[in-house]
Amino acid sequence: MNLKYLTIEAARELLDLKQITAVELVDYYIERIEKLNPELNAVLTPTFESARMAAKVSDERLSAGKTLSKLDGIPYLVKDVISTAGVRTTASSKILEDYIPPYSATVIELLNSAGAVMLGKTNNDEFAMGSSNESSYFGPVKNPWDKTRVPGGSSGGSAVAVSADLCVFSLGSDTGGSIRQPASLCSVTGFKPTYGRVSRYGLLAMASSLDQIGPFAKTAEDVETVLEIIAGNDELDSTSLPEKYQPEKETKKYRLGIPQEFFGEAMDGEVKSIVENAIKKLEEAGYETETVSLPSIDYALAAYYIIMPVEVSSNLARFDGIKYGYSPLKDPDSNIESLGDVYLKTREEGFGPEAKRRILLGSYTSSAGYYDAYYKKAQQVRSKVKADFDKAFEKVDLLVAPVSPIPAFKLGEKTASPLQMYLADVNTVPINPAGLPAISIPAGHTKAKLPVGLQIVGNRGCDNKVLNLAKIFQTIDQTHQLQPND
Amino acid sequence: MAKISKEDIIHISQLSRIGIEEGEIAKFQADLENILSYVEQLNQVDVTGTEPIAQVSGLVNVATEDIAKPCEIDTKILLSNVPRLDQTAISVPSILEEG
Repeated sequence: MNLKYLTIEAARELLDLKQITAVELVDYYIERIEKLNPELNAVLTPTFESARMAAKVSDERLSAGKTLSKLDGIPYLVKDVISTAGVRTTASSKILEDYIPPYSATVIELLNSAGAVMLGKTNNDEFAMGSSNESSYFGPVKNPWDKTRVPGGSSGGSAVAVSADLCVFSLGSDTGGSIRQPASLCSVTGFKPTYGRVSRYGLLAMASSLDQIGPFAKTAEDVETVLEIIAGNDELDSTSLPEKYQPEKETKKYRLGIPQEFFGEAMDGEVKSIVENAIKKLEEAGYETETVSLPSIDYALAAYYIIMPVEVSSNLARFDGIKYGYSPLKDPDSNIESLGDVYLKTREEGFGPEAKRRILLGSYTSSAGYYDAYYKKAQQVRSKVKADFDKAFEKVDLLVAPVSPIPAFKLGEKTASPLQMYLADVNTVPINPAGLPAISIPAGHTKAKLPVGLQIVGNRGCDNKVLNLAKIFQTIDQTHQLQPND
Repeated sequence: MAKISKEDIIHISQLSRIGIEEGEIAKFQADLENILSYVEQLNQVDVTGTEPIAQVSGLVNVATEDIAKPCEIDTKILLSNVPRLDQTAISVPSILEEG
């Protein structure tokens, strides 16, 4: 039986028709991980024993006609910034190398209740900071389309997990593009929901006003299936939206806006044509498009690189070597005497250079004397960025744009200059400060067979419109069905 | 062009509670100068009359009911990650007095 590249829908059918058991399905992915992961390095902590047990219980439910949901028995992988009770959660950092959370994130509890089967935790850029998955303490992740190249980041492991068919779907997180950019570079569908749509309880916080958890899958349809399970109000997350997620049927063709500032000079020529062709396909399918302008967008990346590090410096202050994680106190021979020294040593030895860079930057721009010039200014620019999007969405329903200005770059190519790396996110970053839903769907491949994604952005709360257009695109274009060679 | 001095790096590393070796200071100086020079383009933006915003959800003062619930997690598990335990207490080094 060919189990290659199953969608949730296809797997569900096989299970329901009893053509396969959940145990056989889990064994298939375990075999793929064992075969491919040594080179790809996408999975950090496998949970194969418990996955097999969960699959067995799922089969019992299926036989008794008590399937819990569409996801019952479906194997998935989780980015290692999402807490999983009893299962090591490291944020791909040395500072949490041995940390075992005593509780699970709300999204994990919801997926458990739905019967989904967790196969393990995936690699990512340390503390979700990066666009290439090269800053992980556990080594870089390779792009299955070209293993000398990066998969993108920070959710590189989760993107590769779906791209290389190591699982049916996976979870990532997106603060400035960390789901969408790797989805684009790995030719999978990756969705960042409206801020507040999915609970952040249990997500190791990076930038609390920007972070969102979201799914990776082979199709937009699958992404919506996962979203329906993980979205919803959570009293443990006071920023979670009160309303439930409601899918929507398109009644009138959506009006599409093409944001001109997203097609800047830095854009690779092949990427530009692929994205333009994808938009043309939508036009040929009857969608009207118009150019829109978002004048503050050019400043969004700068504002983000002030706001995000400030929030990071605050969120990462908890890693102090006292309550959990890496600590010189663990060494009984350590002669550390003062509390201050514990803090300094823990964080000096536990954090990687990018995490340190962002904490230092955040401390500087929020410190007395600099707060107004940097942080307050950035929050004002954030307001302008949000207003630009609000204005655009008065004229159009959705925006269509590139995700990454370049395809997957070579490992090591951008690590010398942090700023060069940051500029790779110029099209994804503006979306998070405005809290908008956005998806990356496969749109084509370059001559070198490198994937290129199309980004669809909606207004706050319009996750269903974004997913609808993505699903429709995937009926007129088959790029998402292409798979990398093993 | 932002100028970050060696003293600036030492100062912010102390604020951030991150120990920094002498040899690392120059790289952090260069990196931060580079990044700050980039973000300083915000000085070109006219923000008169624009309120700063910190969040976009519009939610305000979301609270839960003040009802105590038993903790379902065993104390041993809650303490299992603590680097240095003193029975069931988290052991914390003293704060040394200056001079």
